[in-house]
Parts: sequence; structure tokens; C-alpha cells
Amino acid sequence: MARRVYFEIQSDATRRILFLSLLLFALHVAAALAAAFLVAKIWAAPGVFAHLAPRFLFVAVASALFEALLFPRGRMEALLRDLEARPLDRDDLYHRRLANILRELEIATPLERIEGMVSPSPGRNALALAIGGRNVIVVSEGLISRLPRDGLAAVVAHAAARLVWGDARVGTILAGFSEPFRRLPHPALGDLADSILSLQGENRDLRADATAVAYLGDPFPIARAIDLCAEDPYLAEIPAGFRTMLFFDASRAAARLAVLSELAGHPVSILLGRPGKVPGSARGTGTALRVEPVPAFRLYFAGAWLGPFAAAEIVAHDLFDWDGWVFREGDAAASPAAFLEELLAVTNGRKPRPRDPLCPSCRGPLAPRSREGARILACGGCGGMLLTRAVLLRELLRREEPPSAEAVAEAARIATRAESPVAIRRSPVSPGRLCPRCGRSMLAGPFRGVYDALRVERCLGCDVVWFDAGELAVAEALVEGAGGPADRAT
Amino acid sequence: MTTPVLLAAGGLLAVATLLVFNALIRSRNRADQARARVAVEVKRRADLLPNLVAAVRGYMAHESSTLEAVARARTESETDTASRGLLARIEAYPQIRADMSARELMEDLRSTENRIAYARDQALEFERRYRDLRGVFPLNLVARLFSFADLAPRPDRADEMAPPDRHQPS
Repeated sequence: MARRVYFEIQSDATRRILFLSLLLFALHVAAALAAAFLVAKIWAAPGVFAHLAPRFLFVAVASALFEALLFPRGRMEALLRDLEARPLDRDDLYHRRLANILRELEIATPLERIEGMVSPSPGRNALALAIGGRNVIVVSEGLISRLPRDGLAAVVAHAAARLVWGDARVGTILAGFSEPFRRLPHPALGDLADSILSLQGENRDLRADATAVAYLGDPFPIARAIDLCAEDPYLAEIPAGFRTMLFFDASRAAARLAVLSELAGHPVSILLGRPGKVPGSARGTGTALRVEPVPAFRLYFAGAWLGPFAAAEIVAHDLFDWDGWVFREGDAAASPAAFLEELLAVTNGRKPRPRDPLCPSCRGPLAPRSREGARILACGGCGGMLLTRAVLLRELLRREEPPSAEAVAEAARIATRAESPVAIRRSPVSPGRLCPRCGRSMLAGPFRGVYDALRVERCLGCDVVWFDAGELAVAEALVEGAGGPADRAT
Repeated sequence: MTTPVLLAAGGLLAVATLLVFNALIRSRNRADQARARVAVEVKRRADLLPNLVAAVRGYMAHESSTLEAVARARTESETDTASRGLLARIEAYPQIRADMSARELMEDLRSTENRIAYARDQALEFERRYRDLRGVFPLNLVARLFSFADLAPRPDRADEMAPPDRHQPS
């Protein structure tokens, strides 16, 4: 009975969505008119605006229509880019699990094709986007790593339900509508677009939960997944606004659990498998460890400044030339690339050359190996390991093999010697050994910018990190002991 | 006066018959497709099981009865039981977790079991819709006119009794 009620939530949705779309469209027209007025005010004689106002109105309406009809697909791509969403890694067991769950849901739901992508975020979140027949579910690395299989299936089923009901499509289109206002320097219009979007309705999560229960036939995994996601320390990092509409909203966890409890016919404590209160939001504890931002550079090419790029990105860029000019953010003027120490430090003055991956320590060959469900390159001689940063994040998030007692003891020793935040900025970053992939010098620095006693080497160009034998286990123990999940940066 | 009315009624009847005929064809095709999907997933499981048994045989030397049950399974219901039993027993062997290829096979088998369950649900649903369409009045008149037969028992469920067809002369 209750399930039927939640399936009928859409009754007033269509009118509300139409109203919202018109409001946002009017906002677009008003913004275009305001821009036209400013242009007329600055560049033309007084009175010109009044004369041309009807034409401005026509142009504003046409441009808003053009944007609304033609750009949603591009906006979806932009959203995926912002999330750094990548296709699933076929060599990774956890990614394979997600791919399998998506194929299962393609049978259970009316959706013919669901595309899976992964966002390299340690948070626990998933969102569904849909435009023009393309259905995409983006799941964070944190969610894939921390949820058991049935919990992950529950989250993905919820996202698939949003696709089936059309909520994801509406959310993507409305997000596209509101996005231009968020890029303006003054936040007022962005806030206005957000408040309009908040009218969309909150009951859609409840309907998606009820639908996911119908697909899976079991409300328990969904309840436990909501419980786990509500305790995500990275929720605070999700920008306010339209994304909160697309992402998991912790403030709704209690209401969703109440609905699931009603559907299951069990109290929430039984659903969650533990006594205690309904979870709330645990925000802001995951930001304790942060590294300093990488300096940004711009590259001059064909009459335009490209970028900004990180130091390694700019050196690896096809258009980069050591004899050319580079603009460093914060500087008053551009400088010759060869004069900038940050760029020299990346390559140590040498040009990259392709080579077979060899261990930078003992020069033995590096071979693929499985660790915590992910593929890494390991040296059979000395036991060193080479990981991409995306894989390192997975290794730090996953807990299949607990660190050894020696690693835990070493981590405790290092943690007590951790430098203060002031000293972190002065922590020396020096050229290290040669990168097994590109042959350029790696940068040796403190692990995660904090633990100076555990120095790891990174190649920013190849985006890989080198750990000597046993260091990765110590790093995992350090992250576990710090009480917070793995950070995005190392 | 009567002729145009009769013509209009005949035309309406013909259009209605056409629509019902098309609906019956679509419904039967969906049911056939759903059954084919079950068969595909069952075949996939049959391919996966021997590989998984070979991968875990070394770890599960004391589980010869479970492994033999998988090898002996012939009918689909026997394979269902043997496959689920194997997955449940494997959980008791943590050393298998270090074997990546075995874990990949386990994950694929688990997923295939889920797919079979979903595909069976879907097949049952489409079969029910087809039988409803074929059985309710007045659609059953069109079904009889064009000899829409009841769906045969699924090959994997041949040992089960087919639902009685109350609309066909015995």
C-alpha cells in the first residue's frame, strides 16, 4: 500500500517542472537583456537602448532558446568533466563489480543501456545524468570501495530508478539551465537559480527508493547504504546548489529511512542492523589533511594564453617549449620557461623519453600485480610498487588486507613525528629517482604533504606514485590511523 | 443510410482487429525475447562454473562433494542449487580472496545468478501479459481467429507442468 503511494508522487511533477523551466528561462532572458543594456549603455549613445529594446528582447529570447535546446548535451559533458568522471577500469575487480551490477539492472529495469563512470573522489556518492537517450550513472571511488556488493547494487538501483522516472533527465536539464549563473562573479543570480531549483520537490528520493526496493526485492541494503552515505565526511565538499539535487542529500536520510521502514514493516534499528538513532549529517571532518595547491601556469600560443595548468601538465603539454614564455599565476609578468624553478624541478632539465618500465630502485622489470582488487606495477626484486594516483586512492580506501603489525607500529612512529601545518609548506620537495614510465625525475616529498618521515616519489607528468617495499602498507596504516578516509591528494 | 454505417462499423472493426493483432505479436515477441535472455544467462553460467571449479579446486580439497555436485548437475534446477552452494562454501575460504582470477570468476558467477533471477522475473511478467492479452474478452476472439497459441513451457522448465489452456479445445 505504502509503495503504491510513493509511486504516485509524480502527480504534480509535470506542472512544477514546466513552471521551473519557465522561471529559469525567464532568468536567462533577463540576464541577456541586462547584458544588452550594459553594452548599449557603455558603447552607444543615450536612448539607443530604448530604440533597440524590442530587437534586444528578440535576440535574448532566441539566444536563451538556442542555449536551452542545443546545449544540454554539452552541459552534461561539462558536468562529467567537473566530476573528473572516467570510464570503468576493466582490470579492477571493484569496477568489474559495478559493471556487472549495471548489466543486471539493464535486465531488471526498462533501461536498455546504462553507462557507468567513476569519479576519483573519496566521498560516498552517486548520481544519475541523462540527456538525449544517454543514461550515465557516476559513482565515487569511495562508494565503490566502502560498500559491500548488495549496498552498491542498492545505490545504483536508486540511481537507475531516477533514470527510469525521468528525474535524472529533468535534473540534468535544470542543472544545465542554472549553471551559467553560477559562473558569474556575483553569487546572487546563482543563489536565485538554486532557490528556484529547490522547488523541484524532495519526494523524488522516496519514490526512487521505493522503486529500487521493487527492483531488488530487499529494503535492507538500501537502508544500510543510506546510513553509510550519511556518515560520509566529504559531503561538505559538494558545492551547494544544483549538485545537491543530483547528489545524495544527508538531510533527507531520516525521511528516506522512515519510508524504507514503512515498506519493510520493520523499525529503522532492525533495518540498519544496529540500535541507535537515525543518522544525521556528519560534515566537514574529511578536510583535515590537505596539501598546498599546485602553482598554476599559463602557456602562450598563437596569440592566446592557454591554461591554467599544473607544472607537470604544462611541461607535458604538446605546445610547451623550453624556449617559450610561461605566465605563473600571481606574477606580474610572463617569464621564460627555462627560468622557472617549478618547471625545471619537474623534469630536472631532461626531455622525456619513452622506455620499458624498470624499477627505479633495483632496475628490475616491473610486472602487473593485483592488490586490493586493483592492478598495480610491482618489482619482483625489491618489492617496490608503482601506482597511478587513481589506483592509490583505491588502495587507501579499500580494507581487504589489514596492514601488518610492523606497518602499524611504523605508522604510529611516523604519526607522532608529523610536522605542524606551518612546517608543511616549507617541507622540502626534491628531485627523486627516474620515473619508470617517462624517464624524467620524480619529485620526492612527504606522503600526503604531511608525513615527512615517509617520503614518496611522484611523477606529476605520468600521474604516478612510487612506493618502496613496505611503504604502501605504512601509508595505509597512516591513513587508517588518522581517522579519516583517504584524501584525494597524496 | 445503412450502408455507410455498416461500412464505418466494419472499418472500425477491421482497425481494432489490426491493433489487437499487432499487440499480440509484440507481446509474444517480448515474451520470446525474455525467455531467450534467460537461456543466454543460463548458458553463461554453464560456461563459468567449470572454470570457477577448476580455479578453486586447489583451495577446496575438503569440499569434494560440493565440487562434484556442480559437475553432476544436469537440469537447470540442479545447477541453481549447486551454483549457490558453491558460492556459499567459497566464502569460508579466505585464501581464495588472494587469487584474482578466482575472485573475478566468483564475481561474474554471482552477477550471472542475479541476472538469471531478474531475467526469470521478466520472462514470467511478459508471459503473463501475453496470456492476459490472449485470454481476455474480446481480444481472445482475435487470438483464436489468427491461431495465437499458448506459449510452450520454457525448455529449462520442461519438467514442470504447463499452465492449463482453458480456451483451446482439448
